[in-house]
Amino acid sequence: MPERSDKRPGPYAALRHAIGLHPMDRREFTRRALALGASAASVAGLLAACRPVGDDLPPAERAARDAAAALEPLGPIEPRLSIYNWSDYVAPDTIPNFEREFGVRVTYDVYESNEELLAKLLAGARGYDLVFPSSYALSVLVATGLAAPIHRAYLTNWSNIAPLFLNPAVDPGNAHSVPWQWGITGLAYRADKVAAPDSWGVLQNVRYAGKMTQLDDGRDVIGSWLRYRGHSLNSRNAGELAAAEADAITAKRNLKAYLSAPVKGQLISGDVWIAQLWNGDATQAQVEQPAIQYALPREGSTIWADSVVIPRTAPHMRAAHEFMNYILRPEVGAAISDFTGYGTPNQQALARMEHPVPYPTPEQMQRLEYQIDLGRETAEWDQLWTEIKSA
Amino acid sequence: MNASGVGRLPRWLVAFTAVCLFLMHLPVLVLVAFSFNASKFAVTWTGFTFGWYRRLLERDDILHAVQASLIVGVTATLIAVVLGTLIALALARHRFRGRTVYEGMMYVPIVTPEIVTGISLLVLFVFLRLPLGLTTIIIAHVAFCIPFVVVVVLARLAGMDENLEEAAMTLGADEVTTFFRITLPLLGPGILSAALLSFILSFDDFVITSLVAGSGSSTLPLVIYSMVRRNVEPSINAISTLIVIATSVLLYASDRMSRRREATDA
Repeated sequence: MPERSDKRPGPYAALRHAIGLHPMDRREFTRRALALGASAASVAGLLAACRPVGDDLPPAERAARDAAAALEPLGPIEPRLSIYNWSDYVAPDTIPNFEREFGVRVTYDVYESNEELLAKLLAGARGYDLVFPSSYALSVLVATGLAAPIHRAYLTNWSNIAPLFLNPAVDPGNAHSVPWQWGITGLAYRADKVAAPDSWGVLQNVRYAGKMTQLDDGRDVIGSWLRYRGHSLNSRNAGELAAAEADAITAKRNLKAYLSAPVKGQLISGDVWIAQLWNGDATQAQVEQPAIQYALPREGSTIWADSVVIPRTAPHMRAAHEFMNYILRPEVGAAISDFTGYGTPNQQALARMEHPVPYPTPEQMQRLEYQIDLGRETAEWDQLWTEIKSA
Repeated sequence: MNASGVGRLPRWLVAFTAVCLFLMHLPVLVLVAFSFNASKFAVTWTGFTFGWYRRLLERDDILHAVQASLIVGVTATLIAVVLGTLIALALARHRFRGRTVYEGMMYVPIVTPEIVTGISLLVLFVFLRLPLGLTTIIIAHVAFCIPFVVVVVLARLAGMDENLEEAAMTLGADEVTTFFRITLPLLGPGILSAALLSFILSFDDFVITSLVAGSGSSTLPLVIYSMVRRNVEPSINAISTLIVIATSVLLYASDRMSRRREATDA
């Protein structure tokens, strides 16, 4: 191996620079960037590209601008539409029928989590016309200005939506979103093995040890134990959260596992008797095993709603609006919710459904709460969830 | 055991190997079995059916995803193998300034967490205004496959006798002829395994693909992960069974090919 002179950089000098082990000063960086053929302008552009494509307007100013924009007419319907959604979240004939009737070619792409959707849109990905965020993801899209204003004039079926699902806290006046599907989180149980559970406390009952599960989601698990002690499931109170953590760990000794959608199979086979689950999934499992019933604990629980949103960068605005109006038709909405097993916010669709999910009564509604974005407290909740899972 | 060490295998070793192989393949066997299960939920056996294979023909989303995965896998593999082989040749056969740096840089993508590679590629594509889609997925896959190709081909080059190339040139072959008649055939098995490795890496990548995919380019892993939120329909088992069969045939064919080559070499 040849001797290295002091002036020559070592073999991996550039690499060490790149990963920051040898911090370069600003002039050195600029010199190298220029030497690499990058102009100063493109370096600035690169940094600008790391910012979201939304805007930094104050919320009031943006709301005023969007309200004005929402009244402007859209162009003619475009020949294409790009949908970005969860898999199996529309009925099999929803899209073919839309394509035939409107002469629009639809591409349907899928994501796996709200986080994946947000990561892409926040980084500035373009090309999607319709996305289907949960309420906390919707609040992020609205707050960053990534959601386009809804042109209500094109939604002639708007009056089909039940008032219960309008005007959500995360999007006042539905300026940027249309309600899509809703559901509640409760307890699915095998009526042939156990009595109907009426409290989250049943999960601490050793009689059913090894036959119970909770969802594999910190928000849902900690939320259920906050409700158990009569607190909000969006609590930021350290004392309340500590009590919820203790309750969750007590229950964990009886739990078979933290399991989400796959628990349906175990309920059907009888390996699990009581499971914290979404009502839509319980309905699907009930088709295979009629002994599966569903209960809303008396302490209350989560109600969730997913929405339809048009990203501000959508290339096919008019087609996106036509699709929104199309899914608000009673028969289309009914087919979608019959397929997904969740609730429809479309009150005209309810009567046409094979397995309608009844709206919560006003009494139930008082026990149900929407999850909201926890903002900076998210890290603390994550920490609690890690502690519970590793306890 | 006899002195040369190639006598009869001890029985316990045979049994141990059999158990290991069985455990390794058990999940796949279960998957294949449940692709013929009548129940929608893969836990209880309720009867034999070909229904999920028929259902596959109706699932346009799954078929499109398989198509996208194949297009990406084959294209990315071809590009990565050509570029990676050339890089390996440059690194192994030539001395040039910055060679060690280049070699070190080759290993960085292998150890970089996928999520970092994915996010940085996403930001880069957005900055370049490249519309996300099959093209960006292919670029990303080429980028993470190249280092693996280089590593595999370099290993093959290390065991290759340079004298053969020199002999060819001494006998009057020019550089191009030598490359195509001597170097490339000798590298063949290495290139083939590099290609198989690339294809498999590309075919089942989720993290990077999910970040750089765009409208109309959902690959099979993206679709499967998205289905998990609701229910993994047994048609996924059916398509997976078909993929297992296809890869087995492919592996068997490549094995036969390299055996035949070894036989003619001998």
